[in-house]
This record gives sequence, C-alpha cells and structure tokens, in this order.
Amino acid sequence: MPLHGVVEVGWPTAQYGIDMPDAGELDDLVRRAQAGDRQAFHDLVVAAQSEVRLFAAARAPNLDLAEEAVQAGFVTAYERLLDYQPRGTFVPWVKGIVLNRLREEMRARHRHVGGDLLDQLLIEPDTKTNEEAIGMATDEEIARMRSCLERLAPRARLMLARRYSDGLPVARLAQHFHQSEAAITGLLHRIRRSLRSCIETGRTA
Amino acid sequence: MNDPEQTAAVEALVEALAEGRLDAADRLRLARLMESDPQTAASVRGQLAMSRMLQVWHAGADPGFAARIETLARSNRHSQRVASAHAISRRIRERGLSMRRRQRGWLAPAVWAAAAAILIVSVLTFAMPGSNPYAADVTAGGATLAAGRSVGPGGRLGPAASFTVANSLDIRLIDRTTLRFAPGRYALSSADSGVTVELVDGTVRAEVAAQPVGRTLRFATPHAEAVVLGTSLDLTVDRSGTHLAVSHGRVRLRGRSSGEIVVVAGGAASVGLDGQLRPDPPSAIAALPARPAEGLVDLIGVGTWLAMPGSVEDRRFDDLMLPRLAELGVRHLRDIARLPGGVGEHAAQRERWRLLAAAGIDAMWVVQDPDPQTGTLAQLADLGGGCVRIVSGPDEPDRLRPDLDHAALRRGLVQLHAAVQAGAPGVQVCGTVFADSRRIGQVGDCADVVDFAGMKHMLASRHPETTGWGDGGYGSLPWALAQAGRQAPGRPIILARAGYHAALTGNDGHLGTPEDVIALYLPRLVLAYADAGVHRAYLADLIDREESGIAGAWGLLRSDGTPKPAFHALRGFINVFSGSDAGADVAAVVDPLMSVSAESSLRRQLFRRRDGTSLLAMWLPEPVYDPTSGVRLMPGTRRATVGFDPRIATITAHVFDGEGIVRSADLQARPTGSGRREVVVDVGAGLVVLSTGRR
Repeated sequence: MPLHGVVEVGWPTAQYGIDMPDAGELDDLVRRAQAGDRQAFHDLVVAAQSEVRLFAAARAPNLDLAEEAVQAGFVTAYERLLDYQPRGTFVPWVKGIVLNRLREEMRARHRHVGGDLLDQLLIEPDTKTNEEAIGMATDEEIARMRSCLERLAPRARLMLARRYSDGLPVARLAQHFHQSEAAITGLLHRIRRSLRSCIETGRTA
Repeated sequence: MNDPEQTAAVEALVEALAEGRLDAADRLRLARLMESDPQTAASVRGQLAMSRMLQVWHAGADPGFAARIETLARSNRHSQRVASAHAISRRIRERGLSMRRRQRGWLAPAVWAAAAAILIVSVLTFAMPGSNPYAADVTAGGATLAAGRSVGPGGRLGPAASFTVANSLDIRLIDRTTLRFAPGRYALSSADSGVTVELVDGTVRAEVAAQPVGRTLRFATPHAEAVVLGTSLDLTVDRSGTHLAVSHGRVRLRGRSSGEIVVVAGGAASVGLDGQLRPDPPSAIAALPARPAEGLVDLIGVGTWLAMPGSVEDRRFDDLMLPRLAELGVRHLRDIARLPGGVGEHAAQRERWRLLAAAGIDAMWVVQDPDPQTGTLAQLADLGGGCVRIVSGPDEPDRLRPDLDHAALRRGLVQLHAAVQAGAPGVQVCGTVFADSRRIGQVGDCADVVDFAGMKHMLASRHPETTGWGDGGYGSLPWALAQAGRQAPGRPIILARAGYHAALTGNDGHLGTPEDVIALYLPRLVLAYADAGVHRAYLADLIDREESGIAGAWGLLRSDGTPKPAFHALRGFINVFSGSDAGADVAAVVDPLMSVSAESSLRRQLFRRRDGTSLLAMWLPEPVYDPTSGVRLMPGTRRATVGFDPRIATITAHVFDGEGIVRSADLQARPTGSGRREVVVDVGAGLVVLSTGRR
C-alpha cells in the first residue's frame, strides 16, 4: 500500500455517439488483419466493440457476464479470423460468437444457479433465432438510440448521465434533483420505457 | 401490472437490484411478482436490459480494450503452445518408455542420454501445475498457516490456505501474477473461475497478469470486493475501510453494503467501514510564486437584477437574495442603476442597498442613460449608500440603442466621468460593454475617462481555457482581454458579464452548457481570470430570471431559489480560498512547497491565505463537453508528485466535482530520502486544491 494518497479526479464520460465504419471498410480491415496486420485487428476491435457491447448488454442477465462474453467473443474472433469470409458481416459474425458464448453461459447458470429463483427468472427465455437475436443492437438501432437520447428533455438526459455515467444511486439522485426517491425511481422507469419504445419503433422518446 | 402500488414496489425493487442492494427477502419478493405476472417479468427484464445498455452507452468506448484482447489472444496461444508442448513431451515420454520396453537390454549409451534429456524436459514440464489455475509458490518472506505450520521460500500454499504474515510474503501464481503481502491476515482460495485473495486486515500489492478468459482474480475484504481486469494495484484494509490504488489497468470495485460498483483505471477508490464507496483521500503541492488568496476571492462578483421591479431579487430580497448571497460569500454585485419612481420605493431600495453594504457587499451599477447628469449621479450615490463603488457605461448599446453612434457613446462616457467626479466622488468608472465585443475599440481610447476597461466574456459552452472558436482566437480569454485593452489601454479590466447559460434547448443557437459542466468549469474560469490579471469578473447571474430560453438560464440559483451545482461549486471555491485555518502558523516564513513534478498539461496556481495557509490549485485544462454535438468528453487524468517541507503537519485535498460538491480529506504523505515528504495526486478536469497546515 502506498504511503501516499492517490485520487483520481476524472470526469465521468457519457459518449453519446458511436461512430462505426461501414461494413466494407470493416472488411478491408479484416483482409489486412488476415494478412497479419496487427494494427488492422486493433482497429477492428476499436470499431466494433461498442456495438457488440450494446448487443451483449441487451441480452446478458448482467454486465459482468456481458463483458466476459464480449471479451471471449473478440478473442475467438482473433483466433478464427481466417475462417471469416469478408462479406460485409464482420460485426454480426462477432455477435454470433458472443451470442453462443452467452447462451452457453446462461444454460450453465440455469443448471447451477440452484435456489435463487430471481436469477433464473431474470434470464430471458431464449426464444429468438440466431438471426433475430443478432439483429439486435444494429447500426440502425444504435443510431436510433442516439437520436432518442438526444430528444430527451435536458433534465432527463442529465438524470441518465448522473445515473449511468456517474453511477449515482437513487438516493443521491433524489438529493440532487430535489425529489423523493420514489419519484426518481418512477421517472427513471418512465425514461427507460420511453427510450425502449423509441428505439424499437423509431418514435420520439 | 395495473396496481399503482405494486408498480411502484416493482420499480423500487428493480432500482435496488440494479444498484446491487437487494437483500434475500426482496429478491424473493421480486421473483414472486415476476412469477405471478408475465407482464411484470417482461417489464423487469426490459428495464434491466435498458439499464445495462445505458450503462454501456454512457461508459463509452474502452480505450484499452483492443490491446487487452490482443494480449489475451496471444496469452491463449501461449497457453495452447504450453499445453501442446506438454502433450508432445508426454507422448515422447510414453513413446520413449515403450521404446525402452521394446528395446530393453540393448540400448546404446546415446539412447540413454536422449532418454535422460527427455526425462529432464518432462520433469520441468510437470513442475508447472498444468490445469491447476492456482499454484502459489512462495518466492520470498514467509507466512504462518492457520494450522500453525510455517511456509517459506520454495514452499507452496495449498488451494485453500489461511495464513498470517509477520513481515512480508511474496508469492507467484501460475499465470505469473505476483502478490506481495505486508503484515496481516489473509486467505487464498482457488476455483475454476479463478483465484480469490481475502484480506482480513493488511495490504497486498499485486502485479496481475492478463487473466485467461473465464477466469478472474478477485480480492475480497470485509467491506468490498475488487475484480481485477489485468493490472497493478495496491489494496489495503485498515480501520477506516478498504483502499484501492491502481497503477495501471482496470479494477472493478464493489461496495459490499451499497452494491455500488466503480471501475478504477489508473486512480484510486475506497470503501468505508459501512461498505459504501467513497473517494480516496488525495494529495499534493508546488513551488510556484504564491499570490494572495484574498485577491482571488475579491475577483468574483455576480450579476443581479435587484433594481428591476418585479424581478425575483426584487420580490424575494429578504428571504432569498440576501441569505443566498451570505451563503455564497460573494462580495460584489453588478446591477442596474435605476432611480425609483416614488419616495416610498426610494426609501425601500435605499434600505436594501444599506443592508447589502452592511453585509460587506458592494456593487457596480450600470448607468444606461447615455447622457448622465451630475444631479442624477448624486441621487444614485445617495440611493446606493456606501454600496456603490463602480458605475459603468451603458450595457450593450450596440444592441439596445442602435441609434447611438460611437461618437455619442464616447461623449456619454466623458459625461459619466464628469458626473461621477462632481456628484459621486470616490466612485470609479468602468467603460461601456458591447454586445458585439468587436465593436469595443470603435469608441476610441477612453483611458482618460474610465478607471476600468469593460468587457463581457461569454464562453458559448466552451471550456475556460479554450483557444477560441473563430478568427483570431475569437471567444478565448486572451482575445477578450485584447479587445478590452483597445477601449482603455493600460487600465485594469472588469468582465461585466461572464460565464455560461444552461439553456440546452430554445437557445436560438447560442449554445448552452449542462449544469454539471458549468459547475466544473466555473472554478477553473475564475482561476483563469486570476492568472490573466482580470480585476473583477461578474458571473452571470445570481438567480435565473423568470423567462424562458437563455434569459432564464444564467443563474447560479434557479428562479425558485434552489441552488444549481454551480452555486455549490462557487460557494465551495470561495470557502476554500477565504476560509481560515486555526492550526496555521501565521509567523511561518518557510515556503512549505518545495517541488512539484507533473505533466506540463496540468495547470497549477499557488495562493497564500492571510493565515499562512498555502493553497495549490491544479486542474487539467480540457473540455468535458462538446457543445456542438452534445457529447461528453473524457479528458482523463494526469499525475503530479509534490514535495513539501516536512514540518507541514497536514495536507488537505479539496476536490471539486460536477455536482458542485467539494470533498475535503486530509492526506497521508510519504517521506522521501531527501528529508522531504511527498504526495501524489492524479488530477482531471475537476479542480483539486491542496491546502497546508503546520505542525
């Protein structure tokens, strides 16, 4: 342990935007990576990670598992890169790997979770086909998410930033926004519900 | 799920679950609610999924992720190669043994030599514990196991060992992770999912290798749990809680009771005895020329609208404006000079200004009359009592009085100067402030009739240290000061309106700034003004006007009187720089600050309070918000190491955040070989002020 104190006074980030190269550009990177260009693979991961992360976050029962699956998915992609045929489907290909990993893990958890009913219930019934599932968190949906977030009232956006960028619990949000915890809780639910609806349908949040 | 009470209950349970603070009974309750109603179950899953997506969205891209993937992939390949070598050596050994069985009795010496070599390879290979993810080889020091047995260098801790370290203990795990234990009580356990290190008390320093996929290295303390993502870290448990410092890499730290999780990357975090996450106590200081802290506080003023009939300030002077001003600690106001219509109103106004003067507050009044007379100035001086110290020429005449040409405006300033000389002696004059600052020089050199050059500095949502957003550095502070200098060369400069508005929408293209960003920027803005030698800056405004759009969004307070984060930030700033330190030795002459080593990108300013306390302000002069896209930015942190006189008893860190909260904590410092003491601080876009106290 250091004798000195160390403090990080960083600024919580809210990156309202994910800029992705198009599928053709990604395939160019894949070809270079397949030829042994390590920087190209690095650029591929940088380009695709946000979409894949959102995809995993939408499907995994918790963020730890999502992160684990995303990490494993990209490592597998690295190892099997030569198997990929550049047809403009790199991100869906990685998502497929991540999805398989998630399904394996969730099946294992179903077997081993034991007495915790909630954990079992939180794992969404896996009724989607691979194609349907991989279609989640697409480029288009991400663009919609950005647009839906931008359309939120400033106060709602600020509340989301406080909650998800700064990680403030409801109790702190209530102090900050001078509202009761119940009101903040209800508001967060309404914001998320309208965001989800906006993303799914393209309607205004 | 139409029952409002049940809806509210489910919502509360979901938020608690998301925060990781749902106890067993409530977990069961939520499970039952989901089980009994598929709609509720779908809603809960949907809410949690959206929560996770928002968390990921707000976290932004992980800059180290790609490098980590490559490391892991290479590490996997290495593991596969080791496993492959292992399998090959086993096959060779088996083949060798079968050969020996077949060829017994006639082996040539060369074959024996080859077999011996194979055997050596095999022994070396099998000395690595293959599939066991956990093999804690003691490399230095020693420990006493719970059973009383001692283990020292060359020994090995079992897969579930509890042990006590008297001096120190170094161990190495199979993946080359090294752990150094200071005196304390610990336990190690291994599972397929990885290794867990438990700290009852003590300190462990870890150099953690990238963890194979599916395995993690966890540290558990009575108050917290840290999951390592490949890093160097120090973790300590003491009487105040659990303290984590990460040199590089990332660690996920979770408070046991609050369930709050923070990912610490190149910084520090703590969990208190109550299991709640809290910021770690910081540190630092520098050998810089010190300026009076008093001057810094004196630089700050705020705009008010007390003279405007019906304004919030007018209606709520007693219950809002006066107490909030006292709370804020600002000593200077900028208001409009207006002679009331009736005798009664005159007396009431006069009493207000008298009260403000009695509270130690003075004012700069803006005289909108372009042709002020001596009698008017005398009446105004009477109205303002001892409160009015400065009068300025008309505000934004280029916008409000386009009929006035530059010659008329100059004549007005000359007349104002003369009227003040005759009717309000002792009051100083500030020049005219234009809406379009580029017009300021067109009035000509007014240095002979003004004491201060007037200017406004609205930052259009840019950070205080911006280099501008137009030709010639338009909008930047150096640009603004250069413009002001054209009005009255050589005169000190007053920024009559300065700061940010928070109207993110309905702003007619004048970019607004989120409230929390303003809270981070304002202290930096004041320091930038101090550094540039600005005489005074009147921040706009004290209270939001009751109007929509920009006009109603300049306040430190909302129009209902509630504080915005910027109010808290400015109050904390003034408090830190003007507060007294009872423990300080006023007679001390030794500069307590001996050195500072920091990246040049960090801004540093040193101040000295009258009580002898030194204050070092440090910040990263980077934007945290892109106004054109609305994207939040992550400037990261820079490290500073500060050496200081060993006679300094305490170093206190005051850390400003976007909520306007100033967290203060006393720091521990480490001694250095040269007899100094030293502290290290990682500084980001939020201001950090370190203050000293003597023994």
